[in-house]
Amino acid sequence: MPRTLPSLRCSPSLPWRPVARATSALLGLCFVLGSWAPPAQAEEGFRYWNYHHLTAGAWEFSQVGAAGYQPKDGAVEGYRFGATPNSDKNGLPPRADLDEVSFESVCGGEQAPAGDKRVAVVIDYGVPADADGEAPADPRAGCAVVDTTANGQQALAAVADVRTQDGLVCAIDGHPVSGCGEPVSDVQVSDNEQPVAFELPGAEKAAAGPTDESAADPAASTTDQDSDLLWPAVGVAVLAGLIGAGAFALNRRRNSA
Amino acid sequence: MITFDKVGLTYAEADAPVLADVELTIPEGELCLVIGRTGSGKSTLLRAINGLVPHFSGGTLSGRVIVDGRDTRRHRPRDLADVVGFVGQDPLAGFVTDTVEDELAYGMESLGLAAAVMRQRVEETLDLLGLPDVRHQPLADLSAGQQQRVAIGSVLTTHPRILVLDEPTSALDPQAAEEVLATLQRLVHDLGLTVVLAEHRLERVVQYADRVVLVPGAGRPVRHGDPAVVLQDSSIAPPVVELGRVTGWRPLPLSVRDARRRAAPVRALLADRRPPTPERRAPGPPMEPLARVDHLVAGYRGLRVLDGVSTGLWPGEVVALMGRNGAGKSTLLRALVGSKRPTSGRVRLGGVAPDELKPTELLRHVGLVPQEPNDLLYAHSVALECVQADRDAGVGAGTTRTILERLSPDIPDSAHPRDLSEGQRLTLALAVVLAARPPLVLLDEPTRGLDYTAKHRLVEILRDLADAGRCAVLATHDVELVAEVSSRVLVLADGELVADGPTPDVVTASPAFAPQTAKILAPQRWLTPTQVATALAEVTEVSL
Amino acid sequence: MRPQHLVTHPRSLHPGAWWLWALGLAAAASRTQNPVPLLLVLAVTGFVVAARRSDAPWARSYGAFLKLALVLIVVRILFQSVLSSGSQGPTVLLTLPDLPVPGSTGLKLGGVISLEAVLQATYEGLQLATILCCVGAANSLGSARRLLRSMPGALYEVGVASVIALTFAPQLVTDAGRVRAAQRLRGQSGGGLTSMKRLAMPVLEGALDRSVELAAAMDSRGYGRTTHRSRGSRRLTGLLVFGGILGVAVGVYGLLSGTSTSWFGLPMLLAGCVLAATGTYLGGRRTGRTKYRPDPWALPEWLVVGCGLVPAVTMFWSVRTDPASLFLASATTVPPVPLLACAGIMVGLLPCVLAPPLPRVGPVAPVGTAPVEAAA
Repeated sequence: MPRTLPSLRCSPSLPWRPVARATSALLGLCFVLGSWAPPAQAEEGFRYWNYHHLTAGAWEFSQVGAAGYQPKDGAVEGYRFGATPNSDKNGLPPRADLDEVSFESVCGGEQAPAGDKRVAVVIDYGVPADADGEAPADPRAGCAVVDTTANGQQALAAVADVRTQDGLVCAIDGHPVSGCGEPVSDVQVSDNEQPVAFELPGAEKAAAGPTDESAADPAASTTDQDSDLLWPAVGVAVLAGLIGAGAFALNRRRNSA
Repeated sequence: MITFDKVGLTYAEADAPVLADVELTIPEGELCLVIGRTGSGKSTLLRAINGLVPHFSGGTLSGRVIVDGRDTRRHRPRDLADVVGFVGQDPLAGFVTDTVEDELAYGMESLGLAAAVMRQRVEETLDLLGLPDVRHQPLADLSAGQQQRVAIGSVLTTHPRILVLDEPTSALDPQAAEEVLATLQRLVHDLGLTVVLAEHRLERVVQYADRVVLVPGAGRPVRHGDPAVVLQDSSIAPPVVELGRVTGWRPLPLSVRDARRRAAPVRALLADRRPPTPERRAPGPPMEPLARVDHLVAGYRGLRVLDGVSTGLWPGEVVALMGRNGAGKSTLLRALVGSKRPTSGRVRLGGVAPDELKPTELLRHVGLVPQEPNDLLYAHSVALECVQADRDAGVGAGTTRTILERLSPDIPDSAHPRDLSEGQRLTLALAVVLAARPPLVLLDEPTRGLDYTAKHRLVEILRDLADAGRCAVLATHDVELVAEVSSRVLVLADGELVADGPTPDVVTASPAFAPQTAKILAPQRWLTPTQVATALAEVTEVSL
Repeated sequence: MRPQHLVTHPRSLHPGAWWLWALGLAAAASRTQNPVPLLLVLAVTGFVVAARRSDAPWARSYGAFLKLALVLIVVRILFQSVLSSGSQGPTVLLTLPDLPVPGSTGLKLGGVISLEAVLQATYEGLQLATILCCVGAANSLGSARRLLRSMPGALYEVGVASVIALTFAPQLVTDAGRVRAAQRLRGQSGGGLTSMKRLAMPVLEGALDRSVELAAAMDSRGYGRTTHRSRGSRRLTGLLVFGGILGVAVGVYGLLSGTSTSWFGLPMLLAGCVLAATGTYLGGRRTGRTKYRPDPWALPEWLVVGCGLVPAVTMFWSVRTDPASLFLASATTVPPVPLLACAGIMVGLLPCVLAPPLPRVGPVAPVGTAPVEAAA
């Protein structure tokens, strides 16, 4: 129904001033909120996998990423997850007792065929404070038998699952599950960390029994796990395929109609 | 309604004015036709009515244009939107929305009309223009005639008092043009609208005009008045007027009906004379065709555009390809140059398939001037364009320039191809194509935007090509041009070849394709005023 | 119940609803690189488009977006595997002759290509491709130009600019095809720098001409003829809207980036929304534009938006509660199935029945018994 409008339409004069004042206050509040940062008494840093080389019996914080470094045969590489303050130039080293964890103890049971090299990879998943809720896995070490040209990241990938992003190592064995080098505003630095026990390949072998060769191979254990995961993934992929095929068929019918 | 008071206009960076001292008054309720050669300032005159000139185009306007009491110097185009409806040359380029209804409503939305009013006016306009069936359809899917009608409707909904149209029928086939013109006439008669339109195809519109404004160009004074008076000695005239001049009818007839009522004596004079038939250079066994098309099927996205077309093209022919918008004319031309691959059937250019030819080979077999000659041109000046064309064709330096000189001697070397008039641009593109000396030359809608003078030039060029043993094919809606130049006509409809024969047989068979002269002198089969003039001269000689 | 509330009453859905639905799916896709939910999102958008698109030209654009998405994945794979050989995994697929890139960028051309790198690139590419396809779905289901009609008055000018830009690109592609065909007629085989130059000149000039033509047409049809607005009120409106959009952008970034500093995301988003709404309200009542047959926003619109919201919410929830199923421990592991997120994405499929069917275009079919009475 058409409404009859008065011939002269006057818009009510707007209460501009109070509106303007209120909105500018709101705007100001927003920017204050947006730029507000917690007080800077705690140290700021990032939470990531610290990468170390064992040189002359001590951990040395690597100056390059694992992908850009080529460990030599017989090298020991250390990875330690944790929040690291920006001021820390030495990084967080793995909490390994270097008397127990050495190239010999890790790679002693492995032989490298010609053209390959052995690299001991020491992985420390860090402390619960740095993990998201769940307790991190026990630290472990593995022996990577890889091509002589392999870089650090490839050696690591030979003994663990590695999640990367833009060439950086973000997670090892799914730890942390998400994120990559996230900023931490409140880094707890403990001055002297006690060495913890590392699970060594030899020990695992002993526990599983000397005849069971495959148990020592981390890849074999993940394969079992994978086959459990395979069927749901295949199922959903088939579902997606069916929906896509349905879309295609529907489109065909429309075009021919 | 519209008053031009000593109006002059000079564009920025131009040394001469386009319009000077224009004194013109168009009263309410008239259909006013603006004529003139290309580049004479017709469009400028039209655009000055709603203020696009100079508010949008720039330039210096002297004098005053008063539209319904408003001075365009103080009113921008948007402020005149409720008085003047302006429809530009390419309707598709001016569409702001997606669908017919939205487009009709756009102008009213801008003016802030109430929803109920808008609803009512959209319905009215849909009925007035015969568009209710397509109201929800996307604009891009409409036929060219429907698009033009939507463009007219979209400015009508604001209830303007004046409607300005720039070449509303130049891209339309004869039937669609009839629809649009019938609509315009209805608007003038039923709604009392003032309509100002520019048009090159006078044969289509002059009969409806109450007044003709002749823009001679180059700043010379504008003439206006009764159509029959203005056209008496104008260099621009439709065939019916030319025939009137040949036969000495006064006042000049403007419509086929006027002329036909007076044509009986002329018909009697010519009764025992036979119109010249285009000599067909005996196609068939002795002569190999330049191109053969066999059962050609081609289309786009499931849509069959060509459906089993078979024909041949022989040396020495000028073949006209006619048919509605969307009948498949352009697709056939594209198939002949291999841009469109056949779905089935085959195309052969002297034994080879055009889509298998390398580009450098192709241009020696066939040349195509596309609908938009600009697509073929890319250099910054005419001279560079010619040099590049010589290089592309692998011919001696200066070849293209020589050809261009012969086709159109007045094109300056330094001009930018985009600044040339339509006719000049067409001849430049044609010169570029002809540089490689292809035996087969195809032209897609060459007369779009061409004035009569340019068209005469084109006719001469095409005749020269045919005389030199080449073959020219032109896809066109222009029946007068077809009657003038072509020896054979192919008519496409719904993807099929519905007629293929000598021009007089085909064009006189259907009123839609018949030129004015043929309509006036039917059942005799004279096609052009020139033919009649020659025959009449002979008759008079004999009787003397 | 009025007919527009019925999901069976034929009409075209508000384009805004389609865009929000698609944005919900895109937001879900933005949080994971797990190919399982990504493929599901892709299939869902494809199916809904096939089921509910119209026959208009813009509705056919989903295919083009899909092709573009495939190209994107391929390019991503090529770049990742050929260019950055530093991050290759141990499973070598093939070795190309390598070529060090000068400088200490760590980049290498060629060299080893590993399964890990290819998979990683595929997953990253798939994520981008899925988001792209969501935009494509929105574009083909709800025309961008029709969306513009529902724009609030204060944002109208900005909307016009962006819509012209949106329709400009496909037009350029069409033109380029035409000019390329014409180049062949001049004996150019295409390819190379000179041919690009020859292509660019006519295409760009044509596009420019057309834009000028469109601007002239809009001006002569009263575009921008707003009723008197004072300069101050115009500035205030602009400030409010701009501030609001800024707030929304910062808020959305805070929410989506998923970093530990995201606590300000929600308040920023809300404040931004309030500001923008105030600005558009104030600006809207000052423009003289009216709307012809505004698209109704009724129950089906809410349902469709809800169907887009569910995948986003379940995905965000899953990221929080069960991140292990959304982030792959390594590129070679079999992707886990995040059941909750997948179920949420499947809800996104419902608009294929919840969105009302499109009315028949063309010859008008006899209208059946009014569904209004049936519902009442």
